[in-house]
Formats: sequence, C-alpha cells, structure tokens
Amino acid sequence: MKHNVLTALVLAATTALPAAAQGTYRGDVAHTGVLQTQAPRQFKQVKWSFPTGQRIVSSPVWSDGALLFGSDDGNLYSVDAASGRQRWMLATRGPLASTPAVAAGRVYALSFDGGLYAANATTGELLWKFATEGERRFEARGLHGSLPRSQTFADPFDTYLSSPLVADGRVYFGSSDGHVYALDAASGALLWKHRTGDVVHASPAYADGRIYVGGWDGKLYALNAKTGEQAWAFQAGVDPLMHNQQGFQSSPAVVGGVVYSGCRDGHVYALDAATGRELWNHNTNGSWVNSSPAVSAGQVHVATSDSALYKVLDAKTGQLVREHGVQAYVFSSPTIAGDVVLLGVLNGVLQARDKASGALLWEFQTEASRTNRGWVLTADKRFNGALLFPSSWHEGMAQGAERQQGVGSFFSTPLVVGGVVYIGSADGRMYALE
Amino acid sequence: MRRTALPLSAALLMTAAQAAPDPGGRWEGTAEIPGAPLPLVVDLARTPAGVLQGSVILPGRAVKGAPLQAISASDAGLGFGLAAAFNAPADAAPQVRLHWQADGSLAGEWLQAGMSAPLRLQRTGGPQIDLPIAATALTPALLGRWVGRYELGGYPREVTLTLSNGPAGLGAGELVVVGKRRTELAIDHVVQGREFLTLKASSANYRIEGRYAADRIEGQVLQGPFEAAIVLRRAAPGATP
Repeated sequence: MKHNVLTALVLAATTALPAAAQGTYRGDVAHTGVLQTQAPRQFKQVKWSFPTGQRIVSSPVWSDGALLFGSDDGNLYSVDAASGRQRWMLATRGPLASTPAVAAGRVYALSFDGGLYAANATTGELLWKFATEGERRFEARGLHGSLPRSQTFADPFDTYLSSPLVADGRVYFGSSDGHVYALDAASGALLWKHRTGDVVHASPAYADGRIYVGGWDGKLYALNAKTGEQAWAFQAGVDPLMHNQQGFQSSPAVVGGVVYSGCRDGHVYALDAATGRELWNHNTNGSWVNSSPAVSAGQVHVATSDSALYKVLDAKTGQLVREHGVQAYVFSSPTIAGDVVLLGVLNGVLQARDKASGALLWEFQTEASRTNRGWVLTADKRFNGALLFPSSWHEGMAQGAERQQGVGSFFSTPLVVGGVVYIGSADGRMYALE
Repeated sequence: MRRTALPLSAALLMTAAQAAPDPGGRWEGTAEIPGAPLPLVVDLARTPAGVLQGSVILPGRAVKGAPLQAISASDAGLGFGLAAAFNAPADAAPQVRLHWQADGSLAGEWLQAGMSAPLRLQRTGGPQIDLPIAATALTPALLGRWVGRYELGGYPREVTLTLSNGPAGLGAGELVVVGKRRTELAIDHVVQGREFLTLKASSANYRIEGRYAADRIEGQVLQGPFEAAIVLRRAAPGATP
C-alpha cells in the first residue's frame, strides 16, 4: 500500500512538472526549447480549433488547464485545453504578437499598442499596464532591395514582439523603442532599462543572474538581471546596404554556460555566457535563422528561412550533424518533447520528426494550405516564388508576404501538454492536435 | 367532426412550432465576395428570456466577438446585421439573409453597398458568444472629485473627474478637460477591478484607465490612436474645474 501511494505521488509529480514548466516561451527561463513531456509519434485528429479575429504568431503557454496566447486581433486569450472553449479574453489596442509568460498567478504579454500588460491568469482581470515608448516593426531605407531605395520600408518579415520573461520577481522584455526593460512583476514599476541600438523583438533568456537578448542592431547583449548593467555585447554581422543580413530575431538559449542564437546575418552562434567570446559559428549561406535554437543532449536544433532546412548541430563544435529539407521558410522554433521534434513551417504545415534520426513521423496541414488559394504554394508545398511578389516597388514585398501567410503559416511555436500539441496559425486559429 | 378538427389543427400548429429550426450554435462559412472571400464564425444563443443574441468572428479582419444587430429568426431562415463588426452605420453595414436548407445548413446572401455574395453557413458546435464586459459600481473610496494633467501634441490638458454611482447602481461620472478649449464628457461605462480602473466616455471614444489607490489614479488617457500618461489625485476641497 505504501509502495502504491509513493508510486502515485511520483506519477503525480512527474505529470504535474511539464505543465508548471510550460508557462513561458521556449519552456523555461533559459529557453532550452525542451519540454519535459512526450509529443505524439502519430497524428490522430484535430481535437479542436479555436478561431480568433486575426493571425496568431504568439505561442501558447500553459496555466492551470488553460492555454494562454495572443492574437494579432489584439486580444490575449485563455482557452480551456480540454474543451477548446474560451475562459476569458483581454482586449489590447494592437496586435498581440508576443508570447505570454505566466508566473505566480499573473500573465504578462506585450502588445503593439506599446503596453506590457499584467493580468490575473485565472480571471483575465487587468492588474497593471506599463507603457513603452512605442512598438513598431524594424524599418530601413531600401529594405531587402525594396524600391525606391530612398524610401523607408517597414519589414513585413519582422513578425514578433519580444516575449516577456519572468525571473526573481522581475519581468524582462525588449521593446521596439530600443530598450530592454526590467519591471517589478507585482506592481509594474520600472526597475531599470538598458538602451540598445535598434528595435529588440527577441525574447530575453535568463541564467545565473544575467539576461541575454539580441537586437536589430546586430548585437547580442548580456545584462546584469538586477541592475541592467551591461556585462558584454557581441557584434554579429551588419548590412548597411539592404539591412537584410542583420539582426537578432531569434531568441537565445543558454545551456551549460553557452549562449546559442540564430541571426539574420546567416549564422548560428555559440558564445561564452561569461565573456561573450565566440565559441563557434555555423554559416547558413545567407539564409536567415529566425527560429530560436532548442538545445538537448549536446545538440542544437535550429531551422532556417530561405534555405528551408532543419539542422542539427554539435553543441560543442557547431559541426553539422545532419539536415533535412522542410520545403518552406521556418520562423517558428523547434520544440523537443520526448523523442519527437516539432516544427511549424510557413507553408501551413506542422512537422513531427524523430529526434534521433530526423525522420518525418507525421504532418498536419491547415485547410488554407491544402486549399492553396491563389497558388501560393507549389504542388510540393514550396512557396511559389514566381507568383508571390509582384514587384520590388512600393509595397510589393509586403503584398507578397501577406499572400504567403494566406496558407495559414505557422509562426507560432508548438506546445505539448498531456500528449496534445497546441499551435497557433496565421489562419487565426489555435489548434489542438492529438 | 368539428370537435375533432379543432384539436387536429392545434396539433398541427404545435408540431410546426416544435419543428422550427433552432439557430442556436456556432456557425462557420465564407462569404464568396469575388476575389476576396470573407470567412466568418457566427455564434447564436437565446437568453434565459428567449431573446436571440449573437456575436461574430471575422478571421483576418481583427474582429473577435463583435455583437450582431437586428437578429431575426423564423421557420424560413435567419437574418442579422454587422454594423458593429464593420464599425459602420446600420444602413451601410453588411447584412446577412439566410434560408434553412434540407441538410440543416443555412444558405443565402451577404449584402452590402448594393451588391450581394453567396454565403453558406454550417453548424460546427455549441455557441460561444462574447458578451460585452459588464459595467460595475464604484467603491466609496473612489467617489468624488479628482484632478490631473496630461499632454498631447505638445499641449497640456487639465482634467477634472467627478465619479459617482448612477441610479442603476453602476459607476458613472463627469469629465472636464481644459486645453485650448473646454470639453465636458459624460463617463458612461465604468469597470472597477481589484486594482485597475477603466472609465469610458463613449460619445468621444475617450477612455481613462490605470491602477488606483486611495489618493491616486495612475494610467493613461486613450482616444483613438492617441495615448498619454496621466496621474489623477484627490481634488482639494473647494477646487473648481
């Protein structure tokens, strides 16, 4: 009898652990991208889907049996994981393009209206709101080769806002106003802010009293979590001509004293967390690495944009272990859950792969992707470049980017709880897959 | 014979009434506007008093849970307006007219600006209507006069806010804003949470929201795309706006 009780307690503890650990982007404050649970190795069905009013680029997090996530319709949602029904909704005044963080019964999220919102995670009641100097997309003259070169364009591929991180009673996040902020988690009072050179849309990671985050100035910063004082800054590539090969959209992972991050300069970097010294870099031949790395068992799992590759690198050396074509751009980040790696792709397909071999286990494709209205995709689910971008002039690039997302792109990063996979789509729906 | 006929016709009427389709539920479909298909999710349910109410989600248009207007349901079909969803006057807003189909779906037209597009809705589940956030009463500690100041476009505005509870027991108030000119607004929707207060003046799409304490309300003034920081403090006795 004693043995049974003990077994039951151990089982309860291990079952409860994943949910408790999944209240933040990338699963934990170090952003390992590893969930202490098992993802399904076979796809059975869509358990439910929950419609919102605009695309979802935010990733779901878990709180007390509910999924919390934002939508570009401006709302922060709590949806019951079992039924798929809404528990509450909190309206903001701009697209909610960050992933919420849950800690001590509160949920925090950043909106394009310039507000960092804190609400009761159970009821959705607004507790406080902190105003940044304003959120916006990265912009530059002649961005990505847009014409006329003398005109400033907002980057249609700058998708996310910084997802807040909560540690030691503080909320950390980056802002388009160029600052990294630390607020008191209970009151919203400003504790410190650190100035960077451009917008900061990556999410800070926390380890050993420091936070680590990259910005669009091409620098990855290590800051004292208590004071905001800069410990070091690592300068990645810059691109003064087109501003294309520049900026950290990827959020870093910190494991074993090493900071891993992708960068739009076409590299994956490993930096010494103590000094900022570059340990290695992996060259992706100009392909953006917007997805955030997942680090597990001495390997770094990342995915690229234009070259559409899922890569596994040796965490110590950066050597390529293997790579797999995934057909289309990846902005979403790999989630490791047991022996499965989940990867959302911008062609509206979620892929589940065997962690050891990379073999494709199953796929889920949105209805919009299957319908492929306007031939956004080729027959083999690649982006149909010939039809997508009408022109480099004026807003041609933005029009093309919007068409791409019409297939229900997965910008969101998957979450796994209790054998169910949750992921948001640019078709505006949060999906529960089992 | 007469005796038999009356109960029979009554029975027929009852059968017809019982067979009237129930529009309650979640409905999904796409208005086939040429070149710009418009997906929509409609939720309909009856209140305990039997009144049909509904809301709509328009994926891709950032509309979630906007209330439906002029909902009409009959044995023949269903109709409603979408003025709130499109932020348009009722006479310019899209209207939907649908008829019951043999398979239980609803088919008809999406009407707007003198044009029409085919629309078919399929029932996909139970209703999940978004109800508007309920107004609350104000606690005694917040009642009375508050003064503050904010800047917008480089010009200062002096604010005097008087809070009260209205006849229905819900929070209300008056707002006087003095900048280049004097503006008086009625606060007609109040939500007081445990720590956060929201005050709306619907006539001007004007809102004050923020954290409150016994002697201080600290937050933002919001109007359309504009937002400014404001701190309101208890007014000194005898102060005039």
